[in-house]
Amino acid sequence: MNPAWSPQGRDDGWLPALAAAAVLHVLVFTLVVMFGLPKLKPGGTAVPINIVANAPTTDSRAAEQAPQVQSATTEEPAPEPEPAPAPAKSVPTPAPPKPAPKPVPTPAPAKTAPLKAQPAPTPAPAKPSKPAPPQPTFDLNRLDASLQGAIAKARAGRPASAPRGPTRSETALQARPSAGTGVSTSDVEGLGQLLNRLWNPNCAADPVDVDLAIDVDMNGRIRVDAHGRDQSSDPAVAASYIRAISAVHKVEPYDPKFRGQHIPIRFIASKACANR
Amino acid sequence: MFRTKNLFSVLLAALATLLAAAPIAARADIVVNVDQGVTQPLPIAIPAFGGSSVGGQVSQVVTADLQRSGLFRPLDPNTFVQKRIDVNLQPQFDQWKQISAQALVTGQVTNDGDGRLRVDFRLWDVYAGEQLLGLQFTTTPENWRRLAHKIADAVYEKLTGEKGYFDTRVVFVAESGTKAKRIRRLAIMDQDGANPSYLTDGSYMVFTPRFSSNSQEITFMALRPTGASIYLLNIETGRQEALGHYPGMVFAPRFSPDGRKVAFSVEKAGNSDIYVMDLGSHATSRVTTDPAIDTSPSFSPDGSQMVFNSDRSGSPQIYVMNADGSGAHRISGGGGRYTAPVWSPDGKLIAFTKQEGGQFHIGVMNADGSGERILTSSYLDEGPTWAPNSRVIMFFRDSAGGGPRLWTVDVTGRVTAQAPYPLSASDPAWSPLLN
Repeated sequence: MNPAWSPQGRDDGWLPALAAAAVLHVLVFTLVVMFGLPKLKPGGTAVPINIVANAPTTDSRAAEQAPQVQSATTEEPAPEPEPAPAPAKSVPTPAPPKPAPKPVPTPAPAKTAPLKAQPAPTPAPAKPSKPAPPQPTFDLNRLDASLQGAIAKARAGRPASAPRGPTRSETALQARPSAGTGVSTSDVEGLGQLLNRLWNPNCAADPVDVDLAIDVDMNGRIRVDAHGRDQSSDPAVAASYIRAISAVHKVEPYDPKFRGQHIPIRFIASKACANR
Repeated sequence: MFRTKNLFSVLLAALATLLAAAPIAARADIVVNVDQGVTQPLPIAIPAFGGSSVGGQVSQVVTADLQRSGLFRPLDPNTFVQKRIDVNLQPQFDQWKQISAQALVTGQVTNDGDGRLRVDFRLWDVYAGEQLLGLQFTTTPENWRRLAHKIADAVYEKLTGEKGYFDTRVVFVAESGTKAKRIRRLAIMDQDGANPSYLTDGSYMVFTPRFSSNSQEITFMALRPTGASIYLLNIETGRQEALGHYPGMVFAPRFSPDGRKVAFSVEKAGNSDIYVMDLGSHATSRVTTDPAIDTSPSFSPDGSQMVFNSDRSGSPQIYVMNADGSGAHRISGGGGRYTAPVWSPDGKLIAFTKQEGGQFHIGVMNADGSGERILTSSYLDEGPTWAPNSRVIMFFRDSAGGGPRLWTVDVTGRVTAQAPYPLSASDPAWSPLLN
């Protein structure tokens, strides 16, 4: 027994009471969270969101961003690069592998050469556990494609110059149309990601961060509250609002989850435009 | 005891799970942060303006201006569902969303009864479905290009927050003939290469023309068999005036921001110094006295300082001093040879020519010398001049074989393009925005 858990002089008998109290608190908290909040929603306060999930949204995105499908497929082969490194793993035991020139950069005529250069999975200590890496049928083109996929994956963090399709979290949200009880962290992240794709920040002038809020009606259309725009006569501020407002409208119609919600959004151009 | 502890642990775990799974609806202060975005030229649709036959030409000029800036991507008119739109009707936004147009410019050109041309135009936010701008211009029919540039400026400013630079002109040296018999004529054109014309006849050579702040006057150096002189030329009246005669070579003139003074260099016995002439009184004062070569003065926008080029430290570097010559200090710190510094109109940056590694570069640095950025590199890039919005720089580029050509680069260095003037040209100077 760890004395830390049972301070001397304490009666073990009150711990169950503590546990019961905790259970009670948890239950009350859960009830408040699940049922109490909507009643507490004060008008005009920032209240969370629901994301995505209606056909029009999905359809329009698909139409506008067809290339995404391609980018998704190019990411598919990403797992395939494994075959290449795999033989290398088995190298330690067998004969010294020829200092295999990396197959990727070699020009086309070398297509067959790397085949030989690859330390073929020698009869060595076979690694049984791994779902057998594809055998010697090594294809330079596939490797190249898969490396491209890996590179694309590595770049995924950076904003692409071309529009892409919805992310996994976005599509996940679309797959839960009936969830209307509140907004999860991933819902917010999903909306943030979507807006990151649709927002074309104004980096021509000194970047201006923009705060606005949207009220989503029951049809998924929005009314934008951009009073910051009206309070400034600076053309750079106005231009930054135009870009942000255009982005939030591109999401229309909003998912049923968001309907009836007031959603504050902050467009941080100072960060988006840094180093561009 | 052990069971109790286990129960307690389980409860804590359950509580943690519940908290994690609870909808964040419980938090009323949640804000969606958007901090990346996709920076790309803004897709804009500019269908041919309706009304007069000039309408199509106006929209073409607007399109070309915005496209050349690198900040806009005008969409192919062949993809437009609505080819012509009544400027007084709200567009069918869904049709423009289909081609991913973010902004839409509609317009109409009509001839007024009194023979003037009237252009109404509107700028729309396609996704917000609202009008961002609606203006009307009138002018004489032959002036339609300027009117188109003004529309492009208005669109540019509305969507970027920065002043446009399309309704401007460029004065430059038009070069022709062989190297042995070079003809250098003063020439002027619209910033898009239209309406080029010569201001001198080529009987003498001209160098380094510069605009005054009112865009009506030009100062330049002329080299005649009798020697070098600095001139003022009024481009409206054609009146030309020499700014005195100096014993030695006089060169690199540039107006002060208020147009009342001209700074220039005078070379005597191998020593060049900077002088300033008051154009009202013609009084001249010497502002540098160093035995080194001091040249290429350029005033700060408020006129209180000058940036110039000096080899007092052993190689050509960039220095800043007060307008009276006091407090000179070096601001260039990198390797290489720096020449031709020019203060940007907004005062934030200084453009320069740099020679390093066997190449010439156009670059910019902050006014205090920090943050140097090289924008271009080639066999010979020289003579930067700022667009009035401090966003674009024009310079000339020479290759080993061909003649010099005018080029532009934006301050990010990403958008570089040959200026729309097809002949040999050098020493460009960008005018302020026209009135």
